[in-house]
Amino acid sequence: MVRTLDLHRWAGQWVAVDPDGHVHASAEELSDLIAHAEQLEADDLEIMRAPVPGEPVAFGLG
Amino acid sequence: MADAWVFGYTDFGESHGTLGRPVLRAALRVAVPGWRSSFTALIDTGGPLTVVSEEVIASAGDAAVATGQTLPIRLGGRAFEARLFELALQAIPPVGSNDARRSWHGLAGVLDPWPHQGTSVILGQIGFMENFTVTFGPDHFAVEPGNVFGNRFRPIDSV
Repeated sequence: MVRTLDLHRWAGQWVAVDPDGHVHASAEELSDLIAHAEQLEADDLEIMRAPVPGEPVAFGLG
Repeated sequence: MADAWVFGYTDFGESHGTLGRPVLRAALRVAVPGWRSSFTALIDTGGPLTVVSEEVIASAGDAAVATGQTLPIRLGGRAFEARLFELALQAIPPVGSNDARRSWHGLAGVLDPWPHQGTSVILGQIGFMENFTVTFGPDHFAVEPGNVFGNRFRPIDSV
């Protein structure tokens, strides 16, 4: 099953997401989020960047 | 890791313009040893080695050892002289699996500033692909130990 994430509220920010797709923390800078996420109570947080609407589709990883 | 780790592709909500369908990425979670939280990592079978952001290396502590070497790399339309590290990482099993994290280490390049708008880790051939067998299907992909491929398939010239 495709994992579909709804991150539009955090567009352009780095976010820490739990396995259910809920955002527990966000930050403009990745370094800030890494430190913050480790201090949270939640386990299994995953750090990624929320896409910005209208950004070109990256072909592969171009 | 007795069984294959099967993951669904991830739709990060990227714009898909006139494609008419979501952009699906082969993403899994990887962690620096000792950290609870993890980084989303994309699998790039065409990438010669794993590349990470400066922030990932900074969080790695002793798990990252600089080699003193650099490698020219192009990503995101930009050219970088990537600093190379021996980096230890852990792949995290799918949600619901009781398997332990699977560790590996290999060469990783650091791109600064990080050019990829999506994840801070991109898994390539050196390190990741040489330690795991990855099978891509229409809706899911599977990650298994590297030796699985050799047990399942034989190159035609060895038959």
